[in-house]
Amino acid sequence: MSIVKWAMSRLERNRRSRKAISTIMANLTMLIIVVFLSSLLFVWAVTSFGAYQGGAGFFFSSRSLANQERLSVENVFFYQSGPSYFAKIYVRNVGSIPVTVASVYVNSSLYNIAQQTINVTQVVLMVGSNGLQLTGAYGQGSVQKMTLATLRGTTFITTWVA
Amino acid sequence: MRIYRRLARSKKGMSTIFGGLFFIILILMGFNLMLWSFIQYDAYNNVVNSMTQRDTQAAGENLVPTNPGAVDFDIPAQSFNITVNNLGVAVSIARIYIINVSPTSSNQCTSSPCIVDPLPASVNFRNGNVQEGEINHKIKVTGILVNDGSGYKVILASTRGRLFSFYYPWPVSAPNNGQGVFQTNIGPLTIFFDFKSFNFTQGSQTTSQGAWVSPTSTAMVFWIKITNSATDSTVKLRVFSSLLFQPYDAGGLGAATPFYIVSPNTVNPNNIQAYDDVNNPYTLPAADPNGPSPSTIVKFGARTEGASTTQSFPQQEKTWLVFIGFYYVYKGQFQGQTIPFVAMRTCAAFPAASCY
Repeated sequence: MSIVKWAMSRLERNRRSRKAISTIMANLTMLIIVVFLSSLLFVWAVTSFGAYQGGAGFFFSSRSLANQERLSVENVFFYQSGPSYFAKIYVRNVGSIPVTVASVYVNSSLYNIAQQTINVTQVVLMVGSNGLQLTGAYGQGSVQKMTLATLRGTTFITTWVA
Repeated sequence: MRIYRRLARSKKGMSTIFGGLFFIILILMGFNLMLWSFIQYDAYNNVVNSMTQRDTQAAGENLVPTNPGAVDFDIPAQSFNITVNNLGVAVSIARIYIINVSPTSSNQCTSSPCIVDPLPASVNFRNGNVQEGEINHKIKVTGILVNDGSGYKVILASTRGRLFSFYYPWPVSAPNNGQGVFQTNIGPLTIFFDFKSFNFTQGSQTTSQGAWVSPTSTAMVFWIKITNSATDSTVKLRVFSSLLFQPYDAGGLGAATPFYIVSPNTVNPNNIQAYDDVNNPYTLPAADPNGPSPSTIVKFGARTEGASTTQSFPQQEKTWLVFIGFYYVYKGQFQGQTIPFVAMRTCAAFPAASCY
């Protein structure tokens, strides 16, 4: 009995309400628009911040690693064996991390070599026991510029007298 | 209660609340990103500072080898000491490279640098850690000798990647103070002579001695240290070079006693070898713009030109004027020059005190 009475009074109140359907729809529409735009903004922000973090993180970590690379070219010995010319390059890793030498330049000419990893404090003779075979004769007493490039993009330039 | 009522009566819609929440989340995300950037940048700076400090320490190394570079030669033990002064921070030697730049009595270290590593390598060095400010620190090298008459370049490589080098024998500096060194300028070259190295060997001696007074009737090999000061070319000595000893009482032609140049491999009259200026010549390296090249010991002891027969002074004691006839190849040109060298005596009772 009481439930019927409550329903009747509720119907009567709603009938007298001044709010129109359009107002409710407007509110709902506004809510949907805000949620949608906010979601878009959120997704954009997450993507942008993520991209920034990825780029900056890679930059800082790669630069940080590259900055710890230190190579010392301790000696370069030029010699002739038969018709061929060689350079024995002794390189020591005096940095904090292992270094991989990817290429060698002699007077700006690239020599493609097998990549050679040098551990910390280790010294190696580059390119095997005979050293690096040069493409041409070196001038006795001339200045030769040796450049070592690592996989991380660090270059070490030294000059030697042949 | 009041706040609750205000919220209950608030006319702000859900959209405002959602918008506000998203805005706060965005602000927090930005703040987090900024914090992350600071942390990353701080870590990067730490690495940069650490490596800068390392570079600064490497730049602070200042190891100065002292004249004559290598000392305390021990032939049976095959060892010698390198004397250095440390004018910088503490240095630790990681490796020593020895290169023969003027092969004279030996071809060691010519086809490849001789490498000296810390113990327990077979050719090794010890005492490679040099304290800051230490003077006359001796680094003992074992397994190789460099006092065979060749000119060597010795490079000390530190653990921080610095290189310190010197030449052995120690290059002769331009004479100006009468300390036993003089120079002769004849022709295109200036050749420095070291008075202290006008020496000879007899019998089977391996260490030379002063030749200012020499024995009579004894086969000898003279050792003379010379240096090329020309910067534009090496000097290759030819087989025609000789020491010519002319006695004060010379009675004419034939009185002089020549000692012709012999092979760099010759040490004493017992192992005398003919000089071959094609396959095993004396080649004096060109001088560096900063000073003369390392000196080279040239040996004379043959009776005839290009032969391996020994030569000796007559039995009669005499006083001799010594001339050097140098024939050499300079800048591809064959040239010769005569240098009045020294005066010396021969003594039958050598090495008695009465000879001096």
